[in-house]
Amino acid sequence: MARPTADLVRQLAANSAAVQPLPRPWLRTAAWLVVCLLYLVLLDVAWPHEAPYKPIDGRFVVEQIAALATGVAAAIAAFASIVPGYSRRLALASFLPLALWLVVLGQSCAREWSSSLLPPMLSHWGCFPATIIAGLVPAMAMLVMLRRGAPIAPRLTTALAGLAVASLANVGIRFVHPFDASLIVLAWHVVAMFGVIGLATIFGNRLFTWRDVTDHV
Amino acid sequence: MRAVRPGDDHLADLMRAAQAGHPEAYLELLETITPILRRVIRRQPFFAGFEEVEDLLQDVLLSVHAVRHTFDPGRPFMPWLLAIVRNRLADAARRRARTSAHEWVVDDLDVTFPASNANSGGEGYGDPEALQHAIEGLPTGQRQAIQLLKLRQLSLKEAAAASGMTVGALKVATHRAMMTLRRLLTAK
Repeated sequence: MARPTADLVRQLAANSAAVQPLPRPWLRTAAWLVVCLLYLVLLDVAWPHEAPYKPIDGRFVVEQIAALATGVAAAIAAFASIVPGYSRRLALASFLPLALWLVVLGQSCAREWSSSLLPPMLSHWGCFPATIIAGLVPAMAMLVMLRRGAPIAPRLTTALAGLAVASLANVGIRFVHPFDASLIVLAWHVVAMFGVIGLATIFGNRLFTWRDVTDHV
Repeated sequence: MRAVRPGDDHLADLMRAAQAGHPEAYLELLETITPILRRVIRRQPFFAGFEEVEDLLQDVLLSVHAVRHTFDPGRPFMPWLLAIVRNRLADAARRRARTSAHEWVVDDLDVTFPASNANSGGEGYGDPEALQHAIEGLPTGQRQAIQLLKLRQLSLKEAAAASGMTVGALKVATHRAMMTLRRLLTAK
């Protein structure tokens, strides 16, 4: 104990400048989505399209809506996880759209597997780095925004952030993807997504730590 | 008289004022929550000592200060505060578990090694009278060096000022005196 607690309290009060309260998690999610959508639109314009889009069918729409809902729900839960007092059960809200998304993908995979429409897997390995590139700016924006909060559950925060970023990157990349093949999506996009979540969870404790304020008091 | 427990609304009001930059409100808030936090920490079985409780309490107060902008003015105060406390307590418990995993509890041993040379106990020379005679028989410069540096425990600088000798000359005189004394006393 370097100093009496009463002295610390007085010093903290004497050094208390006005602070801007963090906006609510859903507002911060909206701000993050705007940044992400701008980036994904730019990426769509700049990305070389190898083949024309497949016609958009109902399954594709459901899949994209489920992926977007997963990203939004995970982002809200991630922004809530850095605000003390919010329930961690919010994280469960992203499980439902995630399950729906994976089910739709799984059904399509099974259909493609049993048909002759299966595209060559390894020729589309480029989907993996494409998903990573699509997730770069959303990930950086998310990281900067999350580091303003309190690191009370760093592993949960990074896992949710990884899920949000990867889901949104999938939505973006699916609009520039030349093939509408669910097996490729599952193999490259979803593997990339869980890889990002896994890495984020492992290194979460290092990304989010308590700020040292002893120099300011 | 029993102290009245502060209401959550009052604490939330104080925090809102603190966020707006009112140090008096922040001081009142911190002074109000400090005993509450101390009680919460004391209830934990791991942290018993006064210093340990106060260290952890200060850790929590610094954390509250660092993330006071995360308090949502539209939400209650205590759940926000207690979430921070729980996190800091868990961190402290993990730190403690890590530290104790690398510590060995041993008896307070009297000796270092069984060899007799290692357990001399640092006693002085056995025959003080012979030592006194040997010192008196030293040349003047060496005797003065021993008296100032070894018997009066002066520093080299102080001994140089007292004797008028240089620091280098004092070192040489002390070394020679020690050699002479060792030779004289071990020969007996």
